[in-house]
Amino acid sequence: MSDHQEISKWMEGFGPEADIVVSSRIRLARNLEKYPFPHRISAEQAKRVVEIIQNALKHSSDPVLEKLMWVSLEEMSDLDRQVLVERHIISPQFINSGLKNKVILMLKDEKISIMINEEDHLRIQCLFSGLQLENAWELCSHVDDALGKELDIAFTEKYGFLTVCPTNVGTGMRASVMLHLPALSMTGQTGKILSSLSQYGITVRGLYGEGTESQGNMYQVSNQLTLGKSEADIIQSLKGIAQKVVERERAVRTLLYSKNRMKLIDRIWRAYGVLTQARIISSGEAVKLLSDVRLGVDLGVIPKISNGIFNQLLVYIQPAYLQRINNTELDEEERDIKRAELIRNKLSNVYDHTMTAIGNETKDKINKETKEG
Amino acid sequence: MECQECGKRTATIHLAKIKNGNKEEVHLCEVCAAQKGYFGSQMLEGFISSFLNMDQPLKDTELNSLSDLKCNLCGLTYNELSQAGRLGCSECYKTFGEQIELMLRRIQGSAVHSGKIALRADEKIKIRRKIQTLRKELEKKVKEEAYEEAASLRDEIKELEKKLD
Repeated sequence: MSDHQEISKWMEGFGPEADIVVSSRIRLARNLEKYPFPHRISAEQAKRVVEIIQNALKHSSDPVLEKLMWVSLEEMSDLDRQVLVERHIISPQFINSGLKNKVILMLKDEKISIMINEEDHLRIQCLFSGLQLENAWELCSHVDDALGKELDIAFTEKYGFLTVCPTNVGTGMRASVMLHLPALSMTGQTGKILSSLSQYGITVRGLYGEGTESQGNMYQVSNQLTLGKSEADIIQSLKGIAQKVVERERAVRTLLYSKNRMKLIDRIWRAYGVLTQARIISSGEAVKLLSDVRLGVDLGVIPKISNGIFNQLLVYIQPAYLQRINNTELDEEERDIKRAELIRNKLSNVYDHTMTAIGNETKDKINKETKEG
Repeated sequence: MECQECGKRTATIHLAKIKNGNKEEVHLCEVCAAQKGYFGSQMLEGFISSFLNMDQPLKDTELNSLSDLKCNLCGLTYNELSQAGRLGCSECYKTFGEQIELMLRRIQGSAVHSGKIALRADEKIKIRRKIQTLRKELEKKVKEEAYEEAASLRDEIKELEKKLD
């Protein structure tokens, strides 16, 4: 993946509610008729599945499909595979499964990625920044149709799209939003709120999907059910719930800021101080402090650092990516040093830029506010 | 004989229970018997083989139990399905039809898709619906003794049926 560009589309940090909704994702599970699913397939048949999909792509004249890059997982180094997981392009399960003949198709800006022979024959994913579920769905459905024109997809009128796991049958769709919820976390409300969502068929996962933990107050909220409701209905209800959670987060932020103003400002500037000065930092600590600083920017305590910088940093401070940009294997301590360096550069650049870009009047105001606390 | 539980399917499981010296007969279909927990697979297998004293696969469909179900395409067995809860291929959805229906109702709270239709399936579904309408029309024409029109409808149906294969 030598031509791998640094910023993927979802990291840009644009779109509605992009301060709190980091990204929106639609994932569709699809399978071919007449071939066993990947967990029961022979190597030969799996190869055949890959060939069939490859031919479908060759045959298709769809402008989006034509732009997809074809990458065989086997040809990639372990490090590059891990980088793609850290960039949320592929799932950890995809690289860990013992299967062969695994292929990734993706758009250069990583807005679309398709995994072949993951849990299902095809997993089509579209990833956007901010709250853009409808846009992600539109693109994902387009890719699905373009492939569906060329392939015999396993489908019945009654059950819809057939998948390995009964939890995906029907639409085969998992829609999810990644939310940054520091205020709800600080006030110990996330557990209660997020678990109450289950009654609406909504489930909450960690940063890298199923079975992973929440880091840096990031929560992945997605639909649990896939059968009986249309894609549009599922998306609308998830969007509505995401907006409610965002509203709540904002309300608690305002409350915190008015009631514990000094404490909060202190916490934010301390985080900023450590991130811009530390020489050794673990990813756990960095993620936690970045969450505080991000909150500080949202509250206007710290001058504007773009959402994009935070989104990028979430990926760049991860172990594989750090080794990848330094072009060398790094042990834990070396990584912690490189990580601190990278964060210092990213944040101080931003701060300098911001300070030179804004007028003196604003600068004075910022200084005054900073002094006042 | 009808299943005494659901009253719909044919009873293929016939049990005689001796309770307090009284004999009580139970006639159930496979699905209801499984639901009532009358047989785990081993119990039935053990019961049948001891009764018939044979190891050969059973041919009598009346004695076929759920545990004998196996997908023709991927070889997934009923036991594997109930243990792992994962399907092996698209054919499994036919092979284990009734179990999957129950599974989906339990997991999803519904067993009817109302989302997007696969592009190619969409064409097929449209053709099937068209054939249904044409067949009804054909019947009508035959009743009306409009044989010429009926013949052309019949040809049209045949053409459409070719597209489905």
